Amino acid sequence: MVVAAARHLKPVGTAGQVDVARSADPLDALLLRVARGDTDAYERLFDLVSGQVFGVIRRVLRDPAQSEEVAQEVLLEVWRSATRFDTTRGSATAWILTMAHRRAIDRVRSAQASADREERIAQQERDVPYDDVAERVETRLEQQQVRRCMSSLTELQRESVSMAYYGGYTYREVAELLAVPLGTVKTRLRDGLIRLRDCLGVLA
Amino acid sequence: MSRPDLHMLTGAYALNAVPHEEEGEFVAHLSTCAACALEVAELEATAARLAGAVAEAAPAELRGRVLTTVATTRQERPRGRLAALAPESWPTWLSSPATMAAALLLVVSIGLAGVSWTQHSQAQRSEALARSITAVIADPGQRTVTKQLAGGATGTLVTAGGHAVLLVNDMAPAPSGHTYQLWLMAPGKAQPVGLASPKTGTLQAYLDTLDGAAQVGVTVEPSGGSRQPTTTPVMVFDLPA
Repeated sequence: MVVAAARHLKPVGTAGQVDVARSADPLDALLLRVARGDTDAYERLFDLVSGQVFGVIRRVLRDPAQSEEVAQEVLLEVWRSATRFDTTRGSATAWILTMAHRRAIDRVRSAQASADREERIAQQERDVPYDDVAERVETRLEQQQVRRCMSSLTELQRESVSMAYYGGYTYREVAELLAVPLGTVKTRLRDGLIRLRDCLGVLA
Repeated sequence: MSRPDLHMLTGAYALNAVPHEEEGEFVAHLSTCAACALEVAELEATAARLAGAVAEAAPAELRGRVLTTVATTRQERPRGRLAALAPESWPTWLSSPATMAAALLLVVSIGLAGVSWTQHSQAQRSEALARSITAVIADPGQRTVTKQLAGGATGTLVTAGGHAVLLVNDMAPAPSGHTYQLWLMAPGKAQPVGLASPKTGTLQAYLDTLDGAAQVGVTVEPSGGSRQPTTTPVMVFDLPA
């Protein structure tokens, strides 16, 4: 567990701020207990993570009913497959939220498979613009940190990252919507995330 | 897509922005590029922070529904996972076929482990072996066992997909006139897999097939090897069931 704690120590922030060293994610310990069938631990885990799970799914899917459906699937999958979680491969939070985002994306893509492509592009114009992410976040430390670090990206990086992550678009669709080359989008997504990683002090 | 392009997809992949039809190729690339695999892990953790930024209270009835369903839902059985090694602790030579060629010390006899090497050049063998070893280590389903051995050596066996990688550090050279020999063992049986004479103290072996064996073992044998083990193994690893 000492190793796991060391992973989550954050380096000094690039803006000269000293980031508070965090102890290992409390969800890690809970998820390990869940893997052994501990339903009390699952209940506490649910209360800690359901807001983030539902939030990201709803931001991507938008439709409240579908979002609730996918969130339920994900939260049950966390229970069913908790034995697959391995602390050396990252935090429990990252494991759960990566699963949630991926399920939301899968739902978007399967719906899109039958949707008209032109309609989808037209929809983008009606969609809430990416800046709205900043408007909707509540003022909590974690969200403030993410917002602060998102502003350290270039506008083009932030735009591409938001379209891909919150908008659910593939990098090809982002390239088409922004009318830029594929390589440009790939670079923006990669450089943007790397910058975000370094600003937030993320260690895998 | 050419290889340099695949490196550039780590961000898109971490954001789940790679189309399904392209994912397979990229994931296959990850098994050959330890640096990419590590970067993907870090960027996925970063993307998870973006999820946290839009957290929103779930509908109240969701809690009751999920908790009730959990009470009657079976979990997947644990896979008996043993101590796993973090990707960054692997030696960097794994990503360099050139260093791999210099370090490669295992000679696999034709037919004994189902692998034949004579058709390939040394460089091709080394590159192919480096890729095979990385594929096993980077496999998400891999299992790892590490042991401290007498004399201070550390041995690690990684198994995935019916293949295995054996890594031993700080290994004393075999006594003069002798060599180390690897075996696949089952009760009452031992199948020779190959010989190894680590000069730099590091032994690396790739086992292409595990053939229903219960254990991997290493013994000291006279130079040239033996048909059956003639000494007690210096190390034995149990293979996953």
